[in-house]
Amino acid sequence: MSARLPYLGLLLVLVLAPWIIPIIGDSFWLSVLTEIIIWSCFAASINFLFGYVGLLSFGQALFFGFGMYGVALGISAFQLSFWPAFFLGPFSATVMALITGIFAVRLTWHYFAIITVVFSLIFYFLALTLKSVTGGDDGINFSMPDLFNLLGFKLSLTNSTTQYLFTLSVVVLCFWLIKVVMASAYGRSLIAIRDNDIRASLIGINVYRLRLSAFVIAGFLAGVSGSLFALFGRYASASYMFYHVSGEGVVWAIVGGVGTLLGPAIGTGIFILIREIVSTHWQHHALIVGAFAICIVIFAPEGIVGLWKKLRHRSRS
Amino acid sequence: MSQTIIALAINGIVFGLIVALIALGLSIIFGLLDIINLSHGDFFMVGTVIAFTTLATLGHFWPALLIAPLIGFALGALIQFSIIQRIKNNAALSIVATFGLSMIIQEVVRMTFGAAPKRIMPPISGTFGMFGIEYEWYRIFAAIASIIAIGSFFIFLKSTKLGVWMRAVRHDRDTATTMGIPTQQIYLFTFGIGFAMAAIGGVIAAPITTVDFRTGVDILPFCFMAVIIGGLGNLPGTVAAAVLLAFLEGVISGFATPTIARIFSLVLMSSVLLIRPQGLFKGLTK
Amino acid sequence: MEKIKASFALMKPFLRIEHLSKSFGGVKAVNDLSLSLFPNRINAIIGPNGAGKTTLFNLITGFIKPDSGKIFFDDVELTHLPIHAISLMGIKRTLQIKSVFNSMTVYENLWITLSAQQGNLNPFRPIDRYPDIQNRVEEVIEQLDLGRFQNTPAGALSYGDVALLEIGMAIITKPKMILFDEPVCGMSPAETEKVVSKITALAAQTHIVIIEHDMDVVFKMADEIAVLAFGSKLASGTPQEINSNQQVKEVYFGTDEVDA
Repeated sequence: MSARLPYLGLLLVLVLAPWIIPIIGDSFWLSVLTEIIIWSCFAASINFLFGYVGLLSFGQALFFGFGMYGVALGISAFQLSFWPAFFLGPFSATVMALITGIFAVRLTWHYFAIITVVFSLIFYFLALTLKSVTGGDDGINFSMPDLFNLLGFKLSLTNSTTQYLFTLSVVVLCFWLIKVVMASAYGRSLIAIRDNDIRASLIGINVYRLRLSAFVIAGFLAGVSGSLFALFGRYASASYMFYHVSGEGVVWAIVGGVGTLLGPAIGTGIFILIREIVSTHWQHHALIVGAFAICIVIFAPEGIVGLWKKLRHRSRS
Repeated sequence: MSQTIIALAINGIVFGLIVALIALGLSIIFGLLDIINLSHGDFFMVGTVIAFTTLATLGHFWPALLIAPLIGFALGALIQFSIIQRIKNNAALSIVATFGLSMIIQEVVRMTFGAAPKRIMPPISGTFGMFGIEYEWYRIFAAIASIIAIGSFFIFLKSTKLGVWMRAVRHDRDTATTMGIPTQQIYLFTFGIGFAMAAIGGVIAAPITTVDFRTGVDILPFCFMAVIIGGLGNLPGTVAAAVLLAFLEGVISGFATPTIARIFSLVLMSSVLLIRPQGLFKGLTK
Repeated sequence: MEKIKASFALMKPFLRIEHLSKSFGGVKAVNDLSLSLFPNRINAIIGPNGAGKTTLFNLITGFIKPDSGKIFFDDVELTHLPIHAISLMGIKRTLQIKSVFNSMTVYENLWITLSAQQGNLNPFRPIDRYPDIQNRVEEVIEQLDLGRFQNTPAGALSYGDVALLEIGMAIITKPKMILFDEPVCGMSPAETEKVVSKITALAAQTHIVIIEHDMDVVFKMADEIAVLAFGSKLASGTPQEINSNQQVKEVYFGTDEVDA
């Protein structure tokens, strides 16, 4: 039980944030926190594939994009109400992950990384071409349908507290799912594949099929992230499908700590905070981000969470 | 209409030759150091900036052809020494490192050079009649300059001691080390040459493209396409693939949009990766 | 009646290799090899370097596909099946370069091996809810005396202990056949002794096939030896027959004792 305590403590702080933050600072930071949580899920999708399966995907922005446009087009083009649109986003991302995964997972390592970029670029350019539908880089806006509307009691994501708590619940659920899955025989099999894929087939694991299923799960997570993002800004844009977005996610995941549960969240949090804090004073925060990424990779390759675990281990013994 | 296609096709070949030069740099870094260098496009961009700055400060364009590779080589070796060398055991980490490097390079250029795109006039002006169109002399020069640079590179690889060592290290790292080849120095040199070649490509391309801190991002995927479709480790193949892809894209963009042309190249690249990952061109794979 | 049945069982080979060929870039690693291995004995496959022994194991377990020929296990054709399918049929092997799951502990390595055989893929059931797997893992740990290391990551083990772990992983699913590829390669005499006795004990319930260079070990353990040279079968028979075979001696000329 004591192992759970820090998680529960963190959760409690996060839940109370909408009321804590206005006390200590500007409530603008609540929307920053919301963004951090949304993108944590994106980094988590990259970490799931890389940390637990050993596959480095550089194209998760593709599924983010499908999640984003699934919601945006669901609402603006198909006139869906909230919940069906929120279902359509991750659903389309997952289907896309299955289709691309069938091909991508046949490759490994460098070639896998490259083909994930290629697939995401293909759809990025397609999105640009279909500008009338997707709005291209400029994107499309839509208005937010209500989350919940019963007998005059209305919940809408236009309220920033509702938005935050909704986003938090969804992402916490996703992280919890990752935790449960990795503690199962299925999760162990993924780690076996990561450690030694030949040995894994030798003990009877269907490496291709498991990798594909992991790819689909990661696509789902990225899609959830994209859907939440669309709901956050009431907006979707093809520019979020560009490989630069995937690349940033990889940096967040690795800096946070590959193969750890909270690593992606911490990595994302650090970089977005750096961006927000520094950019108000100095416009060249990209320098800090780049330098920080390089330093972590040289001095603490196991990432921040990995480093913390190592230090804690050392202090114990 | 057909005249536009001809112009586009020839532009494609010219552009392809320039990209081939850059892609060769990417290929040797990938082949020798096992690194996916996400900042390689930015090396090209730095070349264009050097061209602009040389023209602006010295009043002449031509010195840039010498200055750029020198600066490029120095920077490349420095990067290899200070960053890449320390994480060489892990290819995934080097992706993050080169991504961070890319951010730094772009931001430094944005800080010093500015965010607004600029253009420079070609040092050779005028056009001539060819295939029924008026074609710029400078583009012909660009093609010839690229061919000379690429040719020199191949001669260097084949005939000089350093070149032979580089090929040995790429072929079998461990054996090369036990044979007494100074592999660390070779890595420094390789990264330096890679940057230098991209920088020269940037100088040559500067008068016919925009000088902008973001141009690296556009050219990087194209270089990777050339390397993959040409075949990893197949240097002549990379050149052929670059020219072929640029030519095809040029032609297609005459009928459709450049974006669609790009999609075509990407689909071709996916097919190669899935069906024939060793690349489309046979020949020297060592 | 039982005796007749038993002797028929003795007659039928559990592994049948028919006209197997495999080339790598012009070199024929396995050349029209035909071989039958019979049950109730330890079968050893020996031969000089490059004779095709490991290639044969790779072909049997599905790592590579032959250019021609067929492989049958208990009359089921294996030739074109994928690695994991062959494994699930009850065929396990150890590798020449010992290879396990380095980030997992010894316990977890054994656990996942048994779990994979059972096809457990439920993503919602935590790993401590499989008591039958737990029991069997503890049994094997006991059997191979791995208790001291059960919570050590496999990557931190000494070479000899990794080899023991590999054997544990090979036996935990109670397979039908185990292929041991140079099981005592690089071991001390004490470790060799341990491994030899474990393998010999297994022969009662499992078909055993060993590739080995150490002739002492081969002659001590094996009931039946097949000699490969240049990708095909040179000779087969009991240790005494092989030892007095002139052709075999020639092929081993200069390397008849413990190899490098």
